[in-house]
Amino acid sequence: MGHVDHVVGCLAASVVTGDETIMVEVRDWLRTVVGARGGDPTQVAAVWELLAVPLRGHPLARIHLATAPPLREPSSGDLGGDLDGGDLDEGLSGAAS
Amino acid sequence: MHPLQAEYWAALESADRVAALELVKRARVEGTSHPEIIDRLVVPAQARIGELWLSGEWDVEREHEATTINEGIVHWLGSFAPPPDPGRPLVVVACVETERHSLPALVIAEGLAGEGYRVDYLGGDPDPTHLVRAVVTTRPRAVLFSASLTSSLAGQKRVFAELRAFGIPVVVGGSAFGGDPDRALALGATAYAADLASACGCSRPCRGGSSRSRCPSRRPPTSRAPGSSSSAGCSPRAWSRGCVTAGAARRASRPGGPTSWGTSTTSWGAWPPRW
Repeated sequence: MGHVDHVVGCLAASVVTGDETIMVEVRDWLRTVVGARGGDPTQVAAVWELLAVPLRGHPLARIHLATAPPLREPSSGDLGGDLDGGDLDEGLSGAAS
Repeated sequence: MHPLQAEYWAALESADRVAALELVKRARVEGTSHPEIIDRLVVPAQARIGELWLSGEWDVEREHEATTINEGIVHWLGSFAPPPDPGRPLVVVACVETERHSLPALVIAEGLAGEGYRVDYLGGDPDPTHLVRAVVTTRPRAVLFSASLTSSLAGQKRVFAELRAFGIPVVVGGSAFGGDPDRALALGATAYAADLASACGCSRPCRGGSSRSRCPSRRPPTSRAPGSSSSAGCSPRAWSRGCVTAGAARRASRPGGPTSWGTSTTSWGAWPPRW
């Protein structure tokens, strides 16, 4: 199982169990794995952005994804992704309505 | 670190299966029980293996080599158990579907066998259709599932529901469940067990169950293989202390309800998940 598959599986588990802490756990875990292997942990944000794209129309899943914001460093620049705060807020409000 | 632990770790670190086995043989001859060997050598070593993989110090191949030695040691220790008494309750132990980290399930399976249960151990990533078919045929007292990776949880609701529809309790444990019963109960499991003692408690029938399926009493010491003495956990109080059922969880959420559980050894999922 690849790391991204693991994240997707955790998102499914988070939704099915209603336990949003799962996404916090997997975000922290992925940052550790990436950082320990010489990667940039802030790039976890890119994974979250990519995940958010096919989740349009799935507000509950987006809520669970947004529970664990990817902690992008301010200096990393704007990746122009789908998980900028406003987009996630939109998902949250859409789910609540 | 105890010298025995240091020596065992050195064997795993160098992927020296023979040295690890010789050390365990020596510990056994010197009177260390099988649960003690698992609790003090195998489980802590596996936790360290997981940490080293997570930190990037060990690659997957090295981690698998050491894990395989650990698994072999548990199998070897289990080979000394006397033949199971056909009159004792049967339990099935397996990983959940897609979960291939089978050491926690193996440790629980051997622990339950040591406590007198007949155990069908199905290992990692079982086919759920075959599992349900087999379980309906053998009618075990309970099915115990282990999950280490949280990503393996989402697909389990259906098989848990199928088993429970046949009246077979589903007990779950492992690090994927996050250390409390919430995820387990949300998936429809009958109970969450944090450790071997809890698993024993959860595998007992409810009060008033038939005598045929009662929890086995401990075997007298004379019937045990050398070194196979019980861990301290499987007492009659284990149910209330370590096993959390759906009903118990609801009671626990009320003011004044029990708030803690899982106090004994042989933790189920004490190490981080590995790949």
